[in-house]
Amino acid sequence: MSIDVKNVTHVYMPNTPFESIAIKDINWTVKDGEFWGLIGHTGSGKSTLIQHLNGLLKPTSGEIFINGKNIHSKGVKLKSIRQRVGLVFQYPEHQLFEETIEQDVAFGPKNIGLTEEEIAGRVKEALELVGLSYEKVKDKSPFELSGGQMRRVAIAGVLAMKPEILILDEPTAGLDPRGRDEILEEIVALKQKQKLTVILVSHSMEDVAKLVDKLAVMYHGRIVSQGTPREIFQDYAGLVEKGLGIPQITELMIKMKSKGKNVSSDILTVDEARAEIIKAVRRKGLA
Amino acid sequence: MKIAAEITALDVHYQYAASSDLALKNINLKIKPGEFVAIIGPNGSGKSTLAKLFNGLFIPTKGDIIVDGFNTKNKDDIWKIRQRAGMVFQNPDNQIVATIVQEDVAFGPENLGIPPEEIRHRVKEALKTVELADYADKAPHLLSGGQKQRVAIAGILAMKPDCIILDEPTAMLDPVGRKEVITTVKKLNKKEGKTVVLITHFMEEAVCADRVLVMEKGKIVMEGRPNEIFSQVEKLKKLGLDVPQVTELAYQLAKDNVPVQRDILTVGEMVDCLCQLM
Repeated sequence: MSIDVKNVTHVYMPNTPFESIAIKDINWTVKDGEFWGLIGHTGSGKSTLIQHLNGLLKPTSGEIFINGKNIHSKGVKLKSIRQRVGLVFQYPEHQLFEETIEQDVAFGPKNIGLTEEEIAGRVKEALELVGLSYEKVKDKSPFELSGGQMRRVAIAGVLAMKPEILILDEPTAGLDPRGRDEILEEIVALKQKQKLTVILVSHSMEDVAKLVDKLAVMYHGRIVSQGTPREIFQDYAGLVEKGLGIPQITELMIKMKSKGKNVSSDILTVDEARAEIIKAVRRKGLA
Repeated sequence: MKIAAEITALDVHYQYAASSDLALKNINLKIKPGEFVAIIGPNGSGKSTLAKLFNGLFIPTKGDIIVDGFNTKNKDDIWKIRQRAGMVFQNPDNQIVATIVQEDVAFGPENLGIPPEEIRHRVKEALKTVELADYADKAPHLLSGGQKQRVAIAGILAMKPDCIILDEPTAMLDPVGRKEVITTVKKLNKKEGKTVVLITHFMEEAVCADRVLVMEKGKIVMEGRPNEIFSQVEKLKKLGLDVPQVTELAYQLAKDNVPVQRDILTVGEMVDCLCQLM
């Protein structure tokens, strides 16, 4: 499924003394099956933007197209858009509320009028997709779980709606390194298995460098650049100016290069850096 | 005799009322005045529980916490303790109470019954320390995440604590906000001589500390200088933790027989090390 954002501006509390422009002139195309990262300083408009993609917010001006169809045109049911564009909010575990995990994950599917059998099937599938055993957890209270597991249950609740686009707003904030890596690995696996289009909002430059195909950078309500992580992370100074940064490993290689060392600075992961340095050390050994 | 350590934990156990398990077991610990201690560990390992014991938000089920000579069990001393050990939490929006920055910073000292003149002075000093002097009259909601968190820190500073405990203060911030907060924390420790306890999931932040404590399942399982702790890459990964990317790189290169130091913690150290090799 594709998304087209055309000239979208959103103004909060228009025509009041509190009026503020949250996002401005956004143009953005996400093609079917792509994996995007959305980065930007706190308050840059990331959360506002993604809430437009499933119709939770309506643009003050501009249009949102899902698979070529304007979602605010006549005859489009926002309910079906919200089912197809799944949005996982920040700290989604705060939204768990049912007595058992099964009931919590079943909440969405129940509201779209599926049969009991279909609902049970979806709950089971969704829990297993996020790495939880249905049999083991279904009757537990979501509140007995660890932070990372609660977050998985919340993601399962969105997956149970069988979305074609999955948008996650900082899914790893506050998680320990293992919890972070596990959730990210599950997102990658999900994307491949379900052929999802994925948008990941993140403050971790390391994570987006490792995972996404393309990055959009927001700054004070606008998308100021788009490109592959390799392209985007070459502009270290520019990103710092915008409240962002680059992965530590990329910073290392840029500094080595600026010291006149014969290495590429076009490096996104520890493995890439390792290969590049071994090459350089060997060259030196032969010289 | 005054106890030498700023914060001492003596055989501390803690159990939440609703739980049958111990959240903390056998914690024995001394944090020296002026020391910078980082606590890392998986979610649910007891880090935040321990932090809340340090300023008497929780009282040990068994054992004692002594802050600057005061036992947190003694109810009469609780305000003396909280004034000495201030806490900063994860979400800046939950910690800001006023509509103007300087009023927010004044909230703590006002509650201590400090004279207005002295409060004004403290607020000014605190905002200067966190480098937000120009923001005194601004509305907090207009600030960036990193600035809001620094306002929260200023609010604690205005109480003139000897010790500041920060529980994942950067978890919700963007990269620059994270740097701002850590730079501020380092400054409080080095320039103002405050004792700092920093709980974090960001390993690059923990490397700034004098000492790192690693917690697992309610216990302290590793303890040492950052280079001692982070050079144990495999052990940390087994615990569900991580190391900074440059430390990981040093570990990988060493496996490939490239002669690098194994205890590299920062980009600067790695640049120096690699420059000698190529």
